[in-house]
Amino acid sequence: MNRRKFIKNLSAGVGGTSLALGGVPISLMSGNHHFQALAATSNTDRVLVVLQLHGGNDGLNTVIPVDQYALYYNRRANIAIPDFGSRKYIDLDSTLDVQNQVGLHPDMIGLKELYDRGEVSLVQGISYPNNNGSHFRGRDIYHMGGGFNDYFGSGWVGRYLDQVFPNYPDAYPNADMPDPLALELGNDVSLIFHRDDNIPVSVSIQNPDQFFELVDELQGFQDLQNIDPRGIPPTTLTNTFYGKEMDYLLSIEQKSDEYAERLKVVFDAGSNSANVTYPEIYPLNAPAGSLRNPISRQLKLVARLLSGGCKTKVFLVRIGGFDTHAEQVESYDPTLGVHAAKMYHIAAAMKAFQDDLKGLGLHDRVLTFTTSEFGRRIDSNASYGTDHGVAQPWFLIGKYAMPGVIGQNSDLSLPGGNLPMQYDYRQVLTSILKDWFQASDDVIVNTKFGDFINDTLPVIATQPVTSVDKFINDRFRLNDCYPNPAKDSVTFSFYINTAADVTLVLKDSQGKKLKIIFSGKKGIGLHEIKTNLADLPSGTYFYSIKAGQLEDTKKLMIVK
Amino acid sequence: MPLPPLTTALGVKNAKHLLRRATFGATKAQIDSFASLTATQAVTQLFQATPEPDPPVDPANGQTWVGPSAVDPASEEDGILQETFKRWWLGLMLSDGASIKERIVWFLHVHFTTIQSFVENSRSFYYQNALFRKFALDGTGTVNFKELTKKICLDNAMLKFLDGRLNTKGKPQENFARELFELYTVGRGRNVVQTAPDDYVVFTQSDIEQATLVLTGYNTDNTFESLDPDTDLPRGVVKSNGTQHNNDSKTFSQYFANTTITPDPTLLDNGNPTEESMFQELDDLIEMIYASDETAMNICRRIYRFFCHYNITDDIDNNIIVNLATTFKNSGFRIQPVIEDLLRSQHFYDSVNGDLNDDNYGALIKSPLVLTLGTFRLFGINQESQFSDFQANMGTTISSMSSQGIDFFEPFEVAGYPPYHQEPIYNRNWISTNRLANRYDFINDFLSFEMGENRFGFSVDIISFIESNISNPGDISVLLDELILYLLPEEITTERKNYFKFILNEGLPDANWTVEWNNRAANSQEVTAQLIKLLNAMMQSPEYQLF
Repeated sequence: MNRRKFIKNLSAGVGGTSLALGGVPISLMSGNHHFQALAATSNTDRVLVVLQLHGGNDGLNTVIPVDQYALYYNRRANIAIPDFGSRKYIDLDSTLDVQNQVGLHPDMIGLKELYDRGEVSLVQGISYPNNNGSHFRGRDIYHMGGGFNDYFGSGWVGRYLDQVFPNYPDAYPNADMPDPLALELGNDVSLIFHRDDNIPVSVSIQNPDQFFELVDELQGFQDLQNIDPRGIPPTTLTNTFYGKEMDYLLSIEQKSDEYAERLKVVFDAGSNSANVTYPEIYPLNAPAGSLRNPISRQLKLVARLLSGGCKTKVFLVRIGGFDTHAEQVESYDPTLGVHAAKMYHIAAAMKAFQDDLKGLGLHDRVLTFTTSEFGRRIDSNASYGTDHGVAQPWFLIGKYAMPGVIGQNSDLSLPGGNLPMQYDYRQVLTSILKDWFQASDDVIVNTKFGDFINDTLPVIATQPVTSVDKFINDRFRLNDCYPNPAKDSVTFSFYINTAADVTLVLKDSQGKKLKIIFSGKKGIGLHEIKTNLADLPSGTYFYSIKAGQLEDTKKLMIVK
Repeated sequence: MPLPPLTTALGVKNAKHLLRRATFGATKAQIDSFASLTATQAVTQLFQATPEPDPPVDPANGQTWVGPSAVDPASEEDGILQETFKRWWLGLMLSDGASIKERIVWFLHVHFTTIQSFVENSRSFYYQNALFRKFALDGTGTVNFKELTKKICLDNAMLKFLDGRLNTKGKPQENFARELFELYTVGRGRNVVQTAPDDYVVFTQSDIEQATLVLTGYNTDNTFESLDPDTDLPRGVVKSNGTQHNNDSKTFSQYFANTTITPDPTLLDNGNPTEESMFQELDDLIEMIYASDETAMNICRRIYRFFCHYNITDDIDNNIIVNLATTFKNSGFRIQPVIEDLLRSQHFYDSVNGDLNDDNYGALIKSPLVLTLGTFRLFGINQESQFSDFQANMGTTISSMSSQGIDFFEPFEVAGYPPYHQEPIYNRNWISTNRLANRYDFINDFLSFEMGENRFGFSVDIISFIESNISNPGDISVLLDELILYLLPEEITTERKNYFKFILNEGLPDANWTVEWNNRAANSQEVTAQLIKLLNAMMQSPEYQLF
């Protein structure tokens, strides 16, 4: 492949002869300016993954309002996730206030595990004022980063990256930013990446290897030394509709050519964690078309590109089929079916992705959030489905996600079929820009989120280690036993936030196991176990617990 | 008021513009024949009625399974028949000559879209397509777009696609009603300013709910025996003798003059709904929706975007769309007068003489369908008999188009294929890095005849194509000028032309090509190879993506 020396905007007024300027290295033209801009707008190595649930996700079967279960059940009996049995919802967090208590869909075990590791922030009740129940308008609004009356020609990521990387596309790729600014996995280019009247900041790709080979072999991407004018139209046509479309196509062609080679390099240099397996098939019952996990491959590719050195800032991953007006669940079991499979796909793939990132040493660089064009109605319909609604829950997932739940369960006894807005989605996006990308206020204002600078939400942890440790310790801990020192008996206690097989053993000072204090299943909550010590002489002992993700050992003194 | 027409003879540039926008592609001979016509003559020719096509046949027994002479299919899987239907339809697009009909059928599918995997019924697909074909040319006044809207409400494919069959009195289901307003009729308005929740300014959430009630109680007819008396095509049926229909009065918002739709008491059976009373309510609903000026504006914007340009400025909305909408309303909601008016207008070609910047030449990006079929047609490939195995070859074509960015009959969302509706960039959605590369790859595949035929199952004799289309192929300048004229939408720079010349002649003096051409052996592989290199360069290009 030959890199074409094509500088798009310099051609104005010069026509095809602008190639004479082609000897100037493009990266020098923006040089210092670029570094200054970067420092002010972005924390350099942080990455955002947007996981779009296409079609309008049913938030109430994703995040079940535990404190209002009876009302929840009454309003959607034919699709309600049960509160008993083996397919009961998963209790997310027993330490929360009662009005925040939620259950996850029973197929979201992977997400629960991430939550318990302190890697998930859940925000309830996300919308924008005057929510438009249209798929198309709704998605446009979320992508453009506007309100219900806005008609921007650009997307919020496009406006943000335009500031981080000024003079795109002409000045890119360059030594500082050799990669596409954004990557959309698949074929589309979503509005989220668009810039006013210019090519988007993103490149779309499915398979870097194939893409490179294709571009490498096609005559349309090859050039001839010194005689290739690239098809820049005559100057008389520059400002015609034709000229504008040509400009668009030429820029896309140029970016295809340049980035195909680079993406192959980072793809080949990258890898995935050897011990992580991404989920492929939903293991339970759902229509055949819903069984295959559509995002595993995409997330796996993101991890691999990053591990190969890709500096792309924003990735968009899409999973479709959420417009569940009918047959959202199987008629014989509301925990199975299309929506259940999607819940599994998301939770299991995100768990694998986080594990993969951890194994690759990229764990602290990546934040993912889920979004959809709207939530769905409280009441189900007779077709085992739900109609278009308003507010929806978002998950933010990453080592720096501030673990916990923001927002309450909405009052389901109120009239009206819609969950009300608790937070404007731009509050979350502004929080991401400010606290994740560490964008300045100016940049946030220019991204058109100025109204939300003072209304950010605590979704990103500034000091992940301590806050996460505390979060986990509140939910999974082996307490100090008492009394200690002990004489005839001692009481052990521990707290777990997920039901688990628990083993609690007593060891001597050499670490040799002396007795099993408890072995068996324990549910969520605080557990106390009193043990007789009459048969043990004075000395130093250790007690160890293993209960799911909780593993801890503490010292016990026995003094007779 | 009609738009000011283009009055001169078209000439080649306008003729190719018109033919490419109004059909699935034209040969040089067709362009030349249109060049001598006026816009009015040309448009009349485009709209000439064409015979009804024979229905598709089941590959397992060679007989049709749809229409009046249907026999039970021999194929065991309906999926095979669905694919057969799609390939049959592509065959019609390929073969229909200098006629606009298939392009309008495609427009109707793009508008009242469906998704194969949501419906999965070959008969439903065929009958919906037949319905579109009956309503495509509505110039004579016996049919119109408003009536089509009524028919589509009871179309079996639509009743399945948007869950209309599940919408009942006990549990109303809004899926179809919402899209009826938002996609099919009034639309979303233009830059509307919403001031309250559930009030979308051109319609309201309450309108959706009320229309949902009007539409309760229908079902698909899986026997396809219940025929619509107007079209003789199968339609849906009333569910459970009307007991699933909400028989209350339905009241709409100020956007529909606070209309109330009440079941006609004379059509009821002891106060209970009947098929007649339900049809009457449906009729009232669609009449009410078409009484809103927004409906005519929205339909005309869709037509404008499809045929002319996607960027509707305030000026165009106020001066072009408004006039088209008047034509639409005055003609009794027929689309043919609107399309005719647009395609005849000065505006469609070169709005203001002397100012190039509002010209519509080459201003749209071809859909993969237009790129693919248009390329076939340009090279004279337009009959099933030209393919080695038409069914399989169309399967390959569909798969190639998918990689170029259109899943034929399987749009990603219920609004249809995004380039036709997705603001702000509309047809630029056809292009992404991946898709552009796959479009170029399509040209590469099209021009690869090494195995005796290309992967689409035919071969083109390139030398004879040049002989019959170029006036003096031995003159390299004439060859290039004429290929540029007939392949590309606009003029190119001298540098660009020199690049193409270099590809063909490898930097040798022009006279070299003359010698090569004049001394060629019949089927000369060397000359063919050079010409294929040239065609690859000209068609794997940004210019060739535009029309």
